[in-house]
Amino acid sequence: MRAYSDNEDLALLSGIDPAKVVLWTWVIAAGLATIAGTLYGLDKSFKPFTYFQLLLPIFAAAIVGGIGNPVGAIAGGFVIAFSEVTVTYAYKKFTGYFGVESEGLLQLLSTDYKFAVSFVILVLVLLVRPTGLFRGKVI
Amino acid sequence: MKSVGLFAAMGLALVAVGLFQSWNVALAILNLSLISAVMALGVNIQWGYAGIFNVGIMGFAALGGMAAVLVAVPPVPAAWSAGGAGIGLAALALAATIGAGVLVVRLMAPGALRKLAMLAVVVLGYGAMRMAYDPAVDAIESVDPAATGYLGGLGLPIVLGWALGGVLAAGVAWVVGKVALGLRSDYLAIATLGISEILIAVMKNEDWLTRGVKNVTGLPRPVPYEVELQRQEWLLTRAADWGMTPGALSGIVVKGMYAFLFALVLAALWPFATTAMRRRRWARMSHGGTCRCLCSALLWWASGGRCW
Repeated sequence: MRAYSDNEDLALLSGIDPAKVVLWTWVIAAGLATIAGTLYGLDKSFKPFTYFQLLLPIFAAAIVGGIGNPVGAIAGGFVIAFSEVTVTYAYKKFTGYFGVESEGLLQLLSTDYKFAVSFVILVLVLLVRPTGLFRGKVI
Repeated sequence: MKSVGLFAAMGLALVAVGLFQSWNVALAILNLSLISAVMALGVNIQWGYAGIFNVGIMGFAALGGMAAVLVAVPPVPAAWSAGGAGIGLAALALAATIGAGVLVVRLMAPGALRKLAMLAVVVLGYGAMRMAYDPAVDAIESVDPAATGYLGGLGLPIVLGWALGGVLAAGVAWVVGKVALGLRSDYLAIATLGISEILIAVMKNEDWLTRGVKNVTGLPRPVPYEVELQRQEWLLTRAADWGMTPGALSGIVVKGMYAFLFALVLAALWPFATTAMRRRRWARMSHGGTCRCLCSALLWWASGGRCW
C-alpha cells in the first residue's frame, strides 16, 4: 500500500497489482468505519443523522494524530473525544461538591456545538503543527 | 455557437414545460435556474479562477438568508427591553476579552508567563461573557415564545437585506481567510466545511437571534402577494379574457416579477464575473482575501431574493 502511494511506477515494476491494492485499501477502510459505526450505535443509538456528529471529529482525529500514523490516529481520537466531553460537560454536580450551587448546568459550551470543538482543535493543529502530534505526513 | 444552441434547447424545454404542464411550473424552474446560475458564478470565480476549493458555500448562502430576516422583520421591543442590555454587555465583554488577548500577545514576551496570562484572560473573559449572556438569552427567549422569542430585525425593506448580507458575508469571509490562509487543498476543504457547519449550527441554536428551528415566517416581499393581485380588477378581466383562473395568472405575474429581479441581478453580475477572468488577477491570487469577499458577496445575492 505504501509502496504504491509513494511511487506508482516503481510499485508496478515490482509486480504489485494496483487494482488489488486500491480494492483492499477500500475494503479495510470501509470495514474499520463500519465496525466503529456499529460500536458507536451500540453505545449511543442508531440514527440516520448521527453522521453529522462524526464527520468533523473523524477528520480532526486523523489529522491531529498525524496522517499515516496508526498510533497517531488512536491518540488523535482520544484527544478529540476527551476535549469534546470536557468542553460540553455539565459541571453542576462538580462545583456542588465544593459548596458552589448553581441553577444552570454550568456547561462551558452547549452540547449542540460539540462538533465545533473538534473543528477548532483541527484548525489549531493545522496552523501550529501541520504534521500532527505524531509527525505524520502532510498532504 | 454551441452555447447558443444549448441555451436555445434550455428555452425550448422551458416552453415545453409551459405548454404541456403549466407556465407556473416553467417560471418556477426558470427562477431556480437563475438563482443557481448566480451561485455557480460564485463557485466558478473562487474554484475556477482562483483555485480555492470552498466547500462552505452553503454557510454563506445561509448567512444571506439570515441577513434578509434581520433586515426585514420588525423589531420586538419587549424582547429588546428584556434582554437587549444583557446581550450588549455580553458583546462588550467579548470585545474586551479579545482586546485584552491582543494586548497580552503584543506586550508580553513569549514564554510560559504569557501563556498563563492568555489562559487567565480567556477564562475570565468567557466567564464574564456568560454571566451577562445566559440570563439575557433566557429573558429574550421567554418573551412570547410561540410568536417571537427573539430580538427581531430592523423592520427595513427586504431589498436592503442584500447590502447587509454582503457586509455579513464579507466579514465572515475575512475571518475564514484569516483562519484558512495557508491551508492546502484538502485541509482547506475540511476547514471551510467546518466553518460553514458551525455557522449553520449557530443559526439553528441561537434562538434569541434567529428563532432557531422555530423559523421566522411571513417575511415581507419585494413583489406583491398573489392574494392582493387577485383582488385587482385588471387581473380578473385579463384572466377571464385568456381563459385562466385568477390564481394561476397571479402566480405567473409574481413569478415573472421574481424572474425579472433575478435576471437583473445576473445581468449586473455578469460583466463583473467576466472581467475578473479577463484580468487574470484572480488567477494569480492563490489565497487572497478579496476574492473570498467577492465570492461571498455574489453568493449572498444568490440567496437574498429567495423568498418565493
